[in-house]
Amino acid sequence: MNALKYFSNHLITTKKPKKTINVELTKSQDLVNASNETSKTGARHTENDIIGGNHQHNHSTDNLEGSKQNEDNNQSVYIKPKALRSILRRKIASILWTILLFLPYYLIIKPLMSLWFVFTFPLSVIERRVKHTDKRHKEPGNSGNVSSTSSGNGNDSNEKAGSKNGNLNTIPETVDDDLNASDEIILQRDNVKGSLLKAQSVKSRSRSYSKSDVSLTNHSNTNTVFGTKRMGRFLFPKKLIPKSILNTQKKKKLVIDLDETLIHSASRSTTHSNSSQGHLVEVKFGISGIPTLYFIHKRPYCDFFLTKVSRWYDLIIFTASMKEYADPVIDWLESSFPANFSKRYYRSDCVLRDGVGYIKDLSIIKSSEENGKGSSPSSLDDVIIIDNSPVSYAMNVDNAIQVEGWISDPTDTDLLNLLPFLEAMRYSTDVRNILALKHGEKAFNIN
Amino acid sequence: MEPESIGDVENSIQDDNGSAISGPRKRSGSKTSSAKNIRNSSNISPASMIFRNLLILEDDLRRQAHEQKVLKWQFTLFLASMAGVGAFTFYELYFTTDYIKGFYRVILQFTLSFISITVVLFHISGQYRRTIVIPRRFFTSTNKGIRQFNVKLVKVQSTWDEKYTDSVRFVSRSIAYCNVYCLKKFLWLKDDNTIVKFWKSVTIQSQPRIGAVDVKLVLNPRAFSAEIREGWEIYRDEFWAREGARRRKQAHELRPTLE
Repeated sequence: MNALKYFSNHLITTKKPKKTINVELTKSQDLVNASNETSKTGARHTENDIIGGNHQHNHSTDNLEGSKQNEDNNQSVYIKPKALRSILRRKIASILWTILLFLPYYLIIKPLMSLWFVFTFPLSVIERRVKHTDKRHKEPGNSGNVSSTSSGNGNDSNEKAGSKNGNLNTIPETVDDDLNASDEIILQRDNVKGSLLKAQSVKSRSRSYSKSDVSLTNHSNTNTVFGTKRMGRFLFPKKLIPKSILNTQKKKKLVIDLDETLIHSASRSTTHSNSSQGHLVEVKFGISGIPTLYFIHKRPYCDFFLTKVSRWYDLIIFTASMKEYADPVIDWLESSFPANFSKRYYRSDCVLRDGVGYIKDLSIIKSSEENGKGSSPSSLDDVIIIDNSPVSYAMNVDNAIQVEGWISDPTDTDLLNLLPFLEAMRYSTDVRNILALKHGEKAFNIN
Repeated sequence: MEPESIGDVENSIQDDNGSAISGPRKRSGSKTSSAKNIRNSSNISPASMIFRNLLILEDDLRRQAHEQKVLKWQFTLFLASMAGVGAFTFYELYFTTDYIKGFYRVILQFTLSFISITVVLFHISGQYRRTIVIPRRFFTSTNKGIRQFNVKLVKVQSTWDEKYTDSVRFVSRSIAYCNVYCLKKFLWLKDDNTIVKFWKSVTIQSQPRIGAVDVKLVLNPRAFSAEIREGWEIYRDEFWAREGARRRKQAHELRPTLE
């Protein structure tokens, strides 16, 4: 009997629906109480016996004493009402199931579970850590909330807390390509270190901010305001790249210089290191009528550069040289890459300043476009000029990319180096914002 | 950005402020309102515009860096396997003690010549340069190109736990994609099947991290003050936090009613 009890207890502990069985048992106890007027202790006795009986049923090779007792119990079971019998049947089934599942459970499921636990342990640790830090972030945010409500600015709260509370739902999805005015953050300047701190509540914000600033934050729909006094408020776009730029068929314009940027040409008289390999162009100038021969050399990676760039930009040639000379050269360049230059501008399109030289005024590109289309905003936010001499782009410094002038260096990689930058620039909303960074900090004060 | 949309933003700011302005600039006919808008457009801090464009620049450079890395690894593996097979055939043909003859020898000779021709063509056609040399120099050459704008592209080192989560996410994502593909292709399960839905939710949950996780742009300390540089870092982190929240919300809306 002891062995049986051990077995039964063990089996009951291994199976999962232990609780339900207990519940059933208590039910059965009630039934038994009602029908047979047996005491509760008696019922508990039967419970034990039932379990014992089942095991007797399954392990028939147990000791004799136990089997005898169980036979008696079985007889008593037969006397008992139908409800109890059904419970018994159910219990037998469940125990059978546990025996069936005993080996798979301990041999397969448990090891798998523990393995899974071991593998995912670092993950769960990280997750817990993240949650922990989140909570820590949240707490000051909540305190900020309280203080701000007390000061009458219920709208100001920490960004993280705001996002948790489903404030995102309030952001309209329709304005997706704008810097949204409502998403602002004000940064506080730490006077000691000269670094920026995130202001946590309105109270902690220093008084040095102008009144209009504060009133703006009060009126804004959603919460936090980033920005500094010098840099102004930070406005965040809804989408990284606005749809108007992603979906448009219009490419930005890339204005490229010819001499010393893409090619180098030398007249026959001058000696060149590898003049024998150059392309020969015969130019007849209108005034004199004397033909002159030019050897033209392409800058390294010139064709590769033009092929790549023509996929992203509308290419325009703007050269300070004469039309008679430039045209055959451009034709030759066009023959070596799949696309074409959409426009050509020559010396006649430049502005001549005494003592300075020929200056390329980019506004004629825009004005010619306007004439063609009728109405178009004449801003140069999508025009980039690549040139080797700062004089040529003196009127549009903010649109310019400077390259080193090239004459004969065969290991030059300047055009290659520009490719990643130009590829990344094709989605910018205003090229002047980036290109003006060459002035350093001044770029943040102009505009 | 087109000027009209700047006007839109300004209008929304002004509306918040309580002043009444009709519609965006392109719709406004009167001179006074357009003049107001022009005045307002100086209200958007140039820092926001610059940072926003820097974000776009950085994101595309990140994409390019990733693309180049993948390209480099693909072709390095390809060349390495070719070199391995080539070395094996060379050894079999000329360095083993017992002489190999018959059909096996022909096959080995053919493989060796095939591989050598492929390698030579690979080099001559410029593919080696395109796929190995240029990707390896990506960071140096890009930095040479953007140096004149006082910005620099740097790699971000991630900690071991971030690497671990990244790899787990990658594995579970690829498994989920594979499963969805197989279930739909070979078992002809519909999109609204529970198993397909489950694996789709797995793909959503194991999205890669976003933001400046591997590559980032930093402003040159010689040209910009600490305030501006720090402002840029904060702007970037804040934008990506918002973007992440937005994507999570989108994913939540897309997710089937599993929870």
